[in-house]
Amino acid sequence: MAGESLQVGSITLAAPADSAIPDAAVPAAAGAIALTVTDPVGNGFPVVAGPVPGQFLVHFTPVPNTAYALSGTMYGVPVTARAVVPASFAMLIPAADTIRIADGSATLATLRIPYEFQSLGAAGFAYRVIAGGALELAAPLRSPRGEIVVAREPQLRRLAVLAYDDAAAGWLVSGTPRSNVAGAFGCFGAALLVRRYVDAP
Amino acid sequence: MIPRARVLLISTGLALGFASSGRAQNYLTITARTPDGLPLAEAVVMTAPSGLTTRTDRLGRARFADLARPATVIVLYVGFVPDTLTANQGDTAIVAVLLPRAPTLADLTVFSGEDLLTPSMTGQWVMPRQVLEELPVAVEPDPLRALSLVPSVSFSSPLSARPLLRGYDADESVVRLDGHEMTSPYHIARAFSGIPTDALDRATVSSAAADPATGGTLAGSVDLFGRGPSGDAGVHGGIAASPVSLTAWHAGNAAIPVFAALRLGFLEKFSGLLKESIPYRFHDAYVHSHLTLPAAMALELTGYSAGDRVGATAGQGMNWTNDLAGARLRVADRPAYTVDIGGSTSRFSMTGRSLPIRGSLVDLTNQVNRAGLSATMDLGARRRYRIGAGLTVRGARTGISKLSGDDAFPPNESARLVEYQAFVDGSASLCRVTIEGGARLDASAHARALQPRVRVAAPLGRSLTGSVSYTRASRLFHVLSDPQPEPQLLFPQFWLTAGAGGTPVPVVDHVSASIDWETARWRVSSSAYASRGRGIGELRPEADATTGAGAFRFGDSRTAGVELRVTRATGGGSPPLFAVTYVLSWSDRRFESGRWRPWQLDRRHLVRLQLSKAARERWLFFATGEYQSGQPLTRVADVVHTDMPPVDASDQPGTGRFAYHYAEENSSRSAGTLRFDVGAQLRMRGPGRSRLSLRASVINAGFGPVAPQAPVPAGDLPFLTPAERQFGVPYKRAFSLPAIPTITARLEF
Repeated sequence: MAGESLQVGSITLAAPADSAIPDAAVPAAAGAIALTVTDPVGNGFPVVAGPVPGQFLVHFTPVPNTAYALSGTMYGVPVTARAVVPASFAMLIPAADTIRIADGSATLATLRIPYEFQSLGAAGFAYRVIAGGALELAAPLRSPRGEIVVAREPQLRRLAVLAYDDAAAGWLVSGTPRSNVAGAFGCFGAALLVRRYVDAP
Repeated sequence: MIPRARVLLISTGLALGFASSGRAQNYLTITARTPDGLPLAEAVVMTAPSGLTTRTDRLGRARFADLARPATVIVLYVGFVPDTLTANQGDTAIVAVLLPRAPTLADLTVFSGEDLLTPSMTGQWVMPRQVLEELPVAVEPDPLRALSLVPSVSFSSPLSARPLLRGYDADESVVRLDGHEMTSPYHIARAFSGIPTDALDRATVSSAAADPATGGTLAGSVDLFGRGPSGDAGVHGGIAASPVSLTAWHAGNAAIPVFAALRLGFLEKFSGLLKESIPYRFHDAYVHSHLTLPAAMALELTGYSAGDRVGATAGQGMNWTNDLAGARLRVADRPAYTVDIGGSTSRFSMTGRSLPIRGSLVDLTNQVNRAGLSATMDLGARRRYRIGAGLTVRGARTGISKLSGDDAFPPNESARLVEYQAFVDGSASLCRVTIEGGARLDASAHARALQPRVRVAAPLGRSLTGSVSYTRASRLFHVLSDPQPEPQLLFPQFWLTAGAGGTPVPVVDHVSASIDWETARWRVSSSAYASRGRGIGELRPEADATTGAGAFRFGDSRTAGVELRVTRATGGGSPPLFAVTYVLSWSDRRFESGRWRPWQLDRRHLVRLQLSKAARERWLFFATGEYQSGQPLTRVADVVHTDMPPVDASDQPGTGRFAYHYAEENSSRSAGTLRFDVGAQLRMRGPGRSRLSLRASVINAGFGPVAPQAPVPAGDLPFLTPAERQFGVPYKRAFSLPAIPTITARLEF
């Protein structure tokens, strides 16, 4: 996530399709993961286990329009991948930092928020509504302009709009995820983020 | 007695043939027509004792040169009583008037006469409208779906009207209306033909493009011929109603020689069946006219217009319009030669919103314009030599707006392609062996494709005929679309210029051999075929997880198969008529992986049973059954969790979703499909020549499985019970088709 100093990812084990499908993903063992992210000038940033099983962290701040490489091993298998952070992403509408009822069309239960953005180098878009640190809603955006519908709630919520690179779009937006990781089936992708707040009691 | 000039042609080619046409010859012209004066095109004309055979042209005429007299001439046409005439010394022209009779399914291979004339001899399957109607219908009669009478034709499901010819997609064949190339001859969803059965006189199918005049195809051809302007059997108008449409048609008279048909469709009522709550309307109109001009010139005019609209649901929708105007003029009609010129223009426009293509969603606009001129000259009798040339301007304007996804699409394109066509062919008879050979050249600024074609047919005995053929088929454009979107109404479709921008020119070589056998009660048609193609394109399927790959892919094709159709002949006492078809086939493709894999719609075994039984002259009962072995299936290898990570450390771990990692493409097989359809028709006569037909039919009367299996959508996995998931990813039919009862009514007057 460009601009963020902490990168968060997850590594889970695939379930064979001809055996029982678990309710949730099985997290990868932290000791089996030895990965490094390398920036264009050769600086390496180790991937370390996070506080939640299956979650892994990297401490570095990606820069837009820059390529990064992933290398190392997972369960002893060499893996490599490459991602290019999208060049730019600008939210034109809504322009203000906080979205209020007057910025959209509201009913008693919902608020429809017109949006429009511009991007360069992005292949897919999505938004998330986060309330109190918990994800309330996540959905892809199919067009650079349209409407986002959120529920009206008293609390102030965060709206995160993301512009994915090819790899992340192929993994998160496509019906069938596309892997850009050699040696494993997964995604090493990048995104640009625009934040807004939703104040729609 | 074989004329010397004809024998020489075989060894010395066309040049000598042209020279020989200058010799004074004795011609006999046979005109085949209905009692109402309608010309019967493609009627079979045979002579005895010489055993020569030919077909009538679009004006219902055929010619023989140097025919020994007296001679017996037999004219055959499906749905009509054969006419036998005698040509005496000095006769130069005779007219055969064929009386109509109710054709049956068995007529497809039954020609009463001295010789057996089946597809191996004529190279085509000819189906009059009455035969096309003699099938149980889903919702309403459909001329393209009725092509299932032909062994070479299959369909992806009962919801598709797209005829697949010998392992090639419908978009890789050409469909023509009155000889004019049609663009996407369907209504939206491609579940219905773009023209109603009531507007047609007949349909013909060529399993491979053996005729050098046939272009625009990589496989075979389907020709739809509209009804004539003078009606038939004294009937000049009609109204037909089905659950989703109303069709009206009217034929003129000698003063106003125009046939016109109009159909209005309201598919909203069909939505419940498709489990799609989509407002869907369509219409089509067809006009056909024959005009006799001074100086023995004859003009045939064709007009066609159709429009569809599927309303927006969840931001999705599709509209299209399809228009065609064509004309053919015989400018010279001499005993020794004829000259025809023709022209047509068509415009197809499509707008799709949020169409799914593999992992992407696109807004798509397509406009395909086509204008063409052609000229053909037939030299000598029995079409011994023919030369033709044409010029086509094909313009395709494609606008692609990718809404999401990582697939690579070509840039918006506005291409105008000028294509030049030329062909030459000749036929000759040696003893009773008919040899047809020729070549076709398609050329543009980007590419050219020379396509040699040859066919040899011969009676092998009193009741046995055989033929072998080699055909190269190519075209200078690609039409790529989802071959099996059903039950979805919406689908993407692309037109690409071949030979430009790295897009290969598709070329397919076909070989086939046919043997037909007849006994007093049975007719057997059998064929074996194979093909090998290169430059074949298709839309990359959803299961292909290649990142950043183009939306299209190009590679090789190969097909092979054996077709067998056994028909019980018409006999006295109106016995039940039935035909059994069995097809064993292979159709493979090879793309980037370098390995041959089954084509998505490949079926190994196909068995069809068709029955009809007339009772008391007013009733007709019919039934069909079809079993197809399963089509290829791409199995799920692993279930993965595509976590959506939190945007920063202050968020809880992101939510995820189940998704599939697929095994090798088409490496497994779905279970087969089975359906059984039944129907009955009651014919009643009214005042004057009016008649009323009431038809009731039930499609899939046995509630059989008609769709291929597919893994349940990955998004549905969390909603399955643990018991449903305990053995892994469940596979279900892509859709279920209940028994569909249909009642249609037709009033003709």
